[in-house]
Amino acid sequence: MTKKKMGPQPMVWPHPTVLVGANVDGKPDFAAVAWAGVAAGNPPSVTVGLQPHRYSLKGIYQNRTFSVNVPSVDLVKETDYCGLVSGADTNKVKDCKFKVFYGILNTAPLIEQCPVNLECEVSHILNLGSHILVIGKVVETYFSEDCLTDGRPDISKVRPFAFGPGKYHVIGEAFADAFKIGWEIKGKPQKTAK
Amino acid sequence: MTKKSFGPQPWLFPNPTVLIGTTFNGKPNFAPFAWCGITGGEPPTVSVGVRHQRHTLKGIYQNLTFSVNVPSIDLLKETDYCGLVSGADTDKVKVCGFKVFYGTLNTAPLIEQCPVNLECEVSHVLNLGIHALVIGKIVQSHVSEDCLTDDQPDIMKIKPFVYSRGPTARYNAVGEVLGQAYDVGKALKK
Repeated sequence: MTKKKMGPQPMVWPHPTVLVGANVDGKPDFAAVAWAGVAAGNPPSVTVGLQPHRYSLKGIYQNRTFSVNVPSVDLVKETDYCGLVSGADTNKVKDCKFKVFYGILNTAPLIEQCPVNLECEVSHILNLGSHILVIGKVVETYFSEDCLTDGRPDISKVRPFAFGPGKYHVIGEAFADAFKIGWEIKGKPQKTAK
Repeated sequence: MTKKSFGPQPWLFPNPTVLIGTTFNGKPNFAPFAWCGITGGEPPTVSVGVRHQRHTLKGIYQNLTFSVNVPSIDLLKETDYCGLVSGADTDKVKVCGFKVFYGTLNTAPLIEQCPVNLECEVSHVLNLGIHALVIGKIVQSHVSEDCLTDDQPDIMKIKPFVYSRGPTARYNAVGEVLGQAYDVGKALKK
């Protein structure tokens, strides 16, 4: 077997790349996060792993709310920038020219330029060592209308990007239907008449 | 503002597609999950959202271990197949021709054909409604040697894929490099 042992490594690739929004001392701030994911479906929940010293975490503790904004490839520079500087000494909204809006929650800032915006209420916070895992319940979802096809969300119009080790990658064209292509391994069982 | 509200939705894109491996009654089983992500760095931890009735969760409760296997696009059909049938009545390892191996943990089966394999010990299980969120501490990582460049994992050789919803459920490949992280944003720095 030609496998190399690399020790414990966080290698679930690819990672998404999202902008997590929080109000710190009443001011909106956004941080770039790759260690994020969907946790559950009903109620829909998401996870975000943040280092304890992060400025955005301060806002999450203050309000128990945050947002997840999915940037398109057009915002790759702005997204990366939000991971290079701290909101403690930089006004990222101004530097990146984000148009901020609010939905149901008054303390979860949303970025208009990002095609998908999730407003979240904190449900759990776990101390996992180097990172604090924030689990949020999604209370409302916003989708840019120009990213819809027949009124439904279309990821090919959202054009999100992924984070591999050290690099951002585009997401390619859809190349197979989920819950369908697998039947080619073994024929779909025929439904027997009742 | 031209935004449409959809009510609460788990639309954090893109989602990875991984095969979670478990052992139930001594038999290895694998199921695909897109609701999976990294949760912490030191120790490295990973979360996966699993519906309560899943066969996978039975194995996780039995041993408190599981594996995360990152398939390449070459395993697309096998990965999808593992989500169409249940390990309760199907031997997915046999049907898919998976070569199973074990590392440090005896109850976290790993798939040799998957370029990346993580062995995990359960640290937390949270009831989040219709899903249980399983958080695991990664105790060992295995990477196929032909997916390394200068001894480091190379995502273009691993060729993982993502699961996307909308307008229908589909798989997308991870494409070309868009930019270097912690670098492209410097253009905005004054």
